[in-house]
Amino acid sequence: MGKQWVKGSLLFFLMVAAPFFVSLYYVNIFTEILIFGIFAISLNILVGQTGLVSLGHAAFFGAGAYATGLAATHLSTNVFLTIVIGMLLAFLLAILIGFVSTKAHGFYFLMLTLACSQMVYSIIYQWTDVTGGSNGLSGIPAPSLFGDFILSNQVFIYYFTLVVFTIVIFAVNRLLQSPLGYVFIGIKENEDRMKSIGYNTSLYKNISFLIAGTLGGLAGSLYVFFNGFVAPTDVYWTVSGSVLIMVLVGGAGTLWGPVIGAAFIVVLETIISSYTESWMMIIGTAFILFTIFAPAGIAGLFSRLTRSIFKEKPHPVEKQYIEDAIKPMKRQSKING
Amino acid sequence: MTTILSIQHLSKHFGGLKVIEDITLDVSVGERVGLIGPNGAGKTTFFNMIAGDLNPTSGSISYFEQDITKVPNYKRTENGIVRTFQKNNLMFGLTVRENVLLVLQKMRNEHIQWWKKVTQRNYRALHEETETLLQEWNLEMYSDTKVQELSYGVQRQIEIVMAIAGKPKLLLLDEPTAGMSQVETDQIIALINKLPKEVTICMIEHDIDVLFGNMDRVIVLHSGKLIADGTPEAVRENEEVKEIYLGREEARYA
Repeated sequence: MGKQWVKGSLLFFLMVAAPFFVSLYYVNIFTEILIFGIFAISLNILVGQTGLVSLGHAAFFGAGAYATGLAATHLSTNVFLTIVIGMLLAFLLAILIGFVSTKAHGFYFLMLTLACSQMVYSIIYQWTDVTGGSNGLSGIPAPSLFGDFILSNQVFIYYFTLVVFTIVIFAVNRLLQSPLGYVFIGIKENEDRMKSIGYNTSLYKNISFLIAGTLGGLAGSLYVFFNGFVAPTDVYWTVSGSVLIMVLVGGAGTLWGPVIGAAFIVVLETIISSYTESWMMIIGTAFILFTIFAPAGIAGLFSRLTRSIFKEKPHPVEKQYIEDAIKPMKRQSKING
Repeated sequence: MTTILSIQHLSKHFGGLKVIEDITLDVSVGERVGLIGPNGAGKTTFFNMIAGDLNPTSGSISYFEQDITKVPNYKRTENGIVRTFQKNNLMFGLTVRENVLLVLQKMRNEHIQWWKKVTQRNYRALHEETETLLQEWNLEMYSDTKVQELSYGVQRQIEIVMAIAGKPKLLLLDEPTAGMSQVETDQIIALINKLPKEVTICMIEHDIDVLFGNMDRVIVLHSGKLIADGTPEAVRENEEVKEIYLGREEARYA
């Protein structure tokens, strides 16, 4: 645990120092990674921890983004107030979608979340008076922190995002290994048995969905401040697909995996799309290669690597047990022979 | 004696197939009941209905004089009706300790906490209880091994430990010794016999000999019907039971 702390704070200070050494272009990429990192972390609670594969997570991203954008335009530019409004809408949406879709299992759950998120998309697309329709929501003012301190440039936004990200990763790290986190893992492993133990599994699936949805809304809220603009394409199902790929490529069920996956995809997108139009194809190929050769994602590759370096063997208990059982037999056969 | 379980005219039909037909019986607190019957007699279906995993077609189930026919399975578990499964049904990807922790944290009402990691330091009492239970069952050497890496027999024991960790009032054991060696069977039966006297146990068993000496009462199911109910000795002498187990001709000479 001590080691983790050292590593974590080292990384944090490195990130704090980053804007002093790199250009604004890279600072923006970092911000994007942090935002999509939060988004992927939120989906991972659902996919990696609870075992519910959702293809509609963009709905919460969109809800958070639009609610925050509208609140900033019409109500107040206070960053905390607008983010809370964004998360609240995502929370309410998660209650609704979660109630409907957690009734189904596996493939049907995936289809229901997809259908629900496409409904959210079409509401945003068609409610032109409020959302701006296909033109998107533009002219969102820069958020203010306290009173008249305005997060006016991208470096301020970066720092704000970094603080939020740190809080999220700290909280989720605890959640994933808490008693409640273990309930989620139990549901992923064997839902029927969890019911027999006495867990009301549909309640816990809904709780997981709520946490994931609300955090997804938070990512959307941050995104709207970062981008200053949000369009219906940010709510489209391809966004849900892309965040799912982030989780799977990074390593579902781990803390840092989704963040690494987000970094991987964002970097790939930014760099490759400047060279070729068909960058989607490269990401697709990468995804296929990962599912075949490294199903545990980049995080899984890392832990396999460190294990082979330190030659850490799997638990020897079973082997010992078998040897203990065989020993008397061996002795006997000697006597007989 | 107080009645813990009262079953009235319970039936289960799958389409035209009558798996359980009109079973009525009472079980008293602390009774040790064995349930036997040939394959396909409906024993597991009967258990599934008591545990709430399956809804009966008709009839009712009462637990401490309260109708629980429509109560979902997890609520029945909360109230003390705990079952094991005929086929190992565990969190195979988790370690033995984690499996037991999942039960105990529910019992201790700590399962909703999300702000603390489940470490020895944060949840000392929970971990101590887990260790004690695993030691009692001689499973402490497997604590950190994933269940899927363990042999069938050990998994079978964990299946029972998980149920006992739930502090059952009514324990439903579905063939706890299936596929185990004689030594392992004796161990399991000894540990089951060590459970407090007030725990009511219903046990499905293929092997009639296991029930003798260990059970107060034996119930025989055949084609979904209850055909005998009494002390093990009485059931063994029952003509109909002999017929089912030995066949009509042989029973005459037995």
